[in-house]
Amino acid sequence: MVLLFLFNILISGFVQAEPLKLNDLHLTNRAQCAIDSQSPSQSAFLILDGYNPGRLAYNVAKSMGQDSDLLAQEAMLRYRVSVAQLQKYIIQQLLQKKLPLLPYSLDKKNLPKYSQIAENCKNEVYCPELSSYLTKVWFASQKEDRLLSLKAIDDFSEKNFISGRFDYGCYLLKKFSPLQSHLYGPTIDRKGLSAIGKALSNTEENLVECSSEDRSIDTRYASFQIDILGDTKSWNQYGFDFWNSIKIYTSWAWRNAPEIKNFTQEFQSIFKNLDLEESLLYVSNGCKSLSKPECNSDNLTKNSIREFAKTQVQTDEFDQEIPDGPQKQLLEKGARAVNNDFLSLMDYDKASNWVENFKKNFTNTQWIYRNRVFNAQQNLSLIASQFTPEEMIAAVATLTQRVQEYPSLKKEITYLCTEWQLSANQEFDFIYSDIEQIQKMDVMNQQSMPTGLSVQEQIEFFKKMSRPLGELCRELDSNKFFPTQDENFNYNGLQDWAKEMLKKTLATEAAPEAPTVMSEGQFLTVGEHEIPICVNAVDCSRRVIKSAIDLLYVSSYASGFLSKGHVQSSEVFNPYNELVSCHVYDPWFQKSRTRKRFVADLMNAALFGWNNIPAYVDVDFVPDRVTSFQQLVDQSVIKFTPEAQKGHMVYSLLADLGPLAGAPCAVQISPNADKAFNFYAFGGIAINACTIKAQHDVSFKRAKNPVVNDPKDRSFCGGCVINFVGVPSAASRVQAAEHFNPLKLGVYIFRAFYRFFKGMRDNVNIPRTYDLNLNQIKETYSFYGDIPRQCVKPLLKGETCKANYCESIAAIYAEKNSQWTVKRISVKKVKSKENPNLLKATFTDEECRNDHEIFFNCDEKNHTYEFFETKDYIRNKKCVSQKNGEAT
Amino acid sequence: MKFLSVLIVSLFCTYAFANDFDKESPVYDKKENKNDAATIQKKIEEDMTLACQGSMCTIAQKTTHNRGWSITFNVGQGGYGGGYGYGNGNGGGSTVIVGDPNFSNDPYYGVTLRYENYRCTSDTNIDRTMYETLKYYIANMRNEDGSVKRTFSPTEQATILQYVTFLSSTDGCRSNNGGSGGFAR
Repeated sequence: MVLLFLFNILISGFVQAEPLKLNDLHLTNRAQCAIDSQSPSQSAFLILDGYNPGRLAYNVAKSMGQDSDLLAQEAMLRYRVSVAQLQKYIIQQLLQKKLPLLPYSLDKKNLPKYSQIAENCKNEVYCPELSSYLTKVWFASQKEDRLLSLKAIDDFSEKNFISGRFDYGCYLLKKFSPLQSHLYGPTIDRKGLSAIGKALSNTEENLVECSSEDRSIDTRYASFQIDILGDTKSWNQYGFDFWNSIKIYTSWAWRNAPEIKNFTQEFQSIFKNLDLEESLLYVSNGCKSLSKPECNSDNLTKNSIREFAKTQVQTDEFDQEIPDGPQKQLLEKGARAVNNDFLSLMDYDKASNWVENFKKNFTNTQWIYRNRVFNAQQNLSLIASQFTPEEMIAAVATLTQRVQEYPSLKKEITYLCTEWQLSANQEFDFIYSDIEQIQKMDVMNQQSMPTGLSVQEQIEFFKKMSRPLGELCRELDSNKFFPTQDENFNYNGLQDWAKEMLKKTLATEAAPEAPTVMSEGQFLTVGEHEIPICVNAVDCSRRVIKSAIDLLYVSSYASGFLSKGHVQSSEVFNPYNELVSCHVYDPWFQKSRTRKRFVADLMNAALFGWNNIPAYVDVDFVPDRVTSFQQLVDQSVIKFTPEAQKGHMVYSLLADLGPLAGAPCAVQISPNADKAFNFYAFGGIAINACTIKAQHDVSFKRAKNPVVNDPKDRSFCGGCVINFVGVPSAASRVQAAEHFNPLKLGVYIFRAFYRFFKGMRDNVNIPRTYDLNLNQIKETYSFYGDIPRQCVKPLLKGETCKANYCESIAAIYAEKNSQWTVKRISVKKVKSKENPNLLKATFTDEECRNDHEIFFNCDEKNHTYEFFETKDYIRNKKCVSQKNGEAT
Repeated sequence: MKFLSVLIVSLFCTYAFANDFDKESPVYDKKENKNDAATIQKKIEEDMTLACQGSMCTIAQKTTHNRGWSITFNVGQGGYGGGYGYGNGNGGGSTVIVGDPNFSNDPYYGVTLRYENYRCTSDTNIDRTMYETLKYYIANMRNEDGSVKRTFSPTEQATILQYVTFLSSTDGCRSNNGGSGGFAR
């Protein structure tokens, strides 16, 4: 039976008329990913949750007696479409040099007015001053003489506009596909390239134009991909400013730009009041970044929401009463794998399902944060409205006199004093300075509510109360007020946060104890109905401390969960953004180490390789190791300064005893390292012995933040090779009496090159990158109907594939119609009277020793072909295994 | 003679029993007060002469001492994987095997018999004033009769927490080097 395949390039071409505007896929390994993290990205995902418009429309429809589900769907769809249209509009304005860039770095020399206003407004677009500035810029940029008009507003010049030619693509993702292959692995094989080719030929399965009104795509959760196409070097100048501008203009334009009416249409009035910033998140698509990486609380916190993008949140950090903070998490997790689909994108059938999981995880935790801020605010404002801190503690002092009458009060006062010790005693300073720092944090001060105490005042109240409370507790201690061992007292009634702090030293049970009700009634009530706030003065004081702890809890991740007034971005796909900026990982270390070792090995060869001195010096390098972070508040953000053990050179002197003792043995002394024994051997039996001494110290100059001193290590090792011969020993013995020893020199030089190439072959820590040109993959896939084996290397290099057409077609045909992987293939002409164009392709499978043949016609010029083999025929051919020669 | 020796033994025993019962039971004895402020201060000063050097004092010391034999077999063919850390053997550790599988797909094998004697001392040092305060609080965690209290006051709870925090910072030696540790891996 003859099966006929006619190949037509035109038919298998793209269905979409509009060419895809996507960037090349930039595949990177860990080290390159870490390097890339310092550059601005040319591609981003925009994550959107349409919950707010959906809920609002639902309630409106219900109150008007309309179909609430239908209106909710309509509102969410319009929301998705209008956000996409607004994005496109702003991107166009920026790329077409109509709108000026707003710099991410607030430098007074560049746009002094803007810098001052943005600093005063803490980048909050709701701020009237900033909003008014943006209004002027927006309208001035629409005028013909825009630069002149803008100059009247601020010190604008040509420098504030993007120069160079850039285009953009904006797509709504149906699912994550091979078009995001750079997120799934550091390299790619033929099958991966083939999957990209297939995805490119069926783009409508994976993505659509971003303002599409396609109702079959989830209307609530959406993921857009925005790609900026153009020269990378030029982009590096503008990238961070561009993404900063996009975020600020989007936030402002949603409420103020006249153009928004065209996008939001009939929903304009209700959309205007929605908290757009809450429902949007920009995520860099790959290793590059959207905002300049810095080692501060803002950046680390924003990136820590990466945990929520995982299918299962893998940290209990957010469940703790007092979180460790993102900086400690950074050290704890350290260097890790990247670009291996660690966010499980491929596990979801639809992109919207991934967004849904991400947003749900995120929102659940966000509500915990909001509730804690609200509770702290409510408690402290109510208490402070009735009592001064001194009055409160005076009331507690009075209660200490009444413990005979109310024995349970003694316990409560003991709990209060313990909680004071843990939270406010500056002598120990477990968390006091952290609580104090809250006052200086912009993100926390933004949490202040319109009524009641501001966050700053709340912390001030806590501090003012803690002073007299400390005096009282010390006095009670010296008067031996607290329970003794005869009173059978335990600390079960402590608050959860205190129990968590003491869990290593004190076994407590979860046993809440109700505060003692005094005969005179509740200590603090509110409203006509006298809703109780505090039962007694001790209860009130403990609530003040709890509120401060709640604020501390919130402050650890506030930038990620409670940021107000501006759209957020996060580098969820690249943890090296913060690992590099905080100096935990150095992407250049391994390369530099390998080079330095190579030089040292060559020096060894020069010093000891040619003569009969039985020694060499082994040199290695240890990287910096960050052990902790110092925290300093700088420009209202906590900056983390790494405390590191300095990287240094470690060396060992290795003496070969071969020439002296005649045995294939060696000794090694490492005066500054706990060093592995590095004796050469052929594969065989080796006997080693080492004695190692080390001194590792930790110092505390303050009660917090240990300083880990540089370790002092030394080792002495010896070893012999029993089987085969230690090469330098033998080499040395051959010509021990001679001055020149060529064999030994050869071994030394071989060793130097061996270690160099081995070091440089580290596929994880030596930067590697592949840029896949999507157009070339698309063309190759369309041309051959798949990606031929010969095209993998050129495509990985970003080059055009010029593989032999007929060979490639035969190999693809063989692989598609059998379970074999073609290792080699050759095509020859066959003499045939009936068919003068008959060709024979002979190929070998990777597993088989025997060859297989396929007969076909192929025209190299016109790209047509015809096969004369059935699928069954190829499948039934036997494979003779390369290992044992058996046919299978 | 035999009788005499038995008698002597009996006498000693009798003396011993009589001597024990003559005294009051140690359990119910009232011990002299050894925990007064002056004694504590003197004890702290004595401690500091031993534990302090300059402005820093050693509050905790951990010594790790491991020694023993181990045997490693290497059998395999080809293959090389990166993994975490800085390449294979951070300190440049592994024995260089000439004809390494990384260069070919040939099978390889090897046996390494290894003896290691590893001793590491890890100190936790704190500021002199901090040391004095901490020691003072700890000394006061005893009752006046010298026995350890069973219920601690809030200050004592905080002191214990700080002490434990210092202790848990005492370094774990091998993990600190950033290097290979050991040899011939």
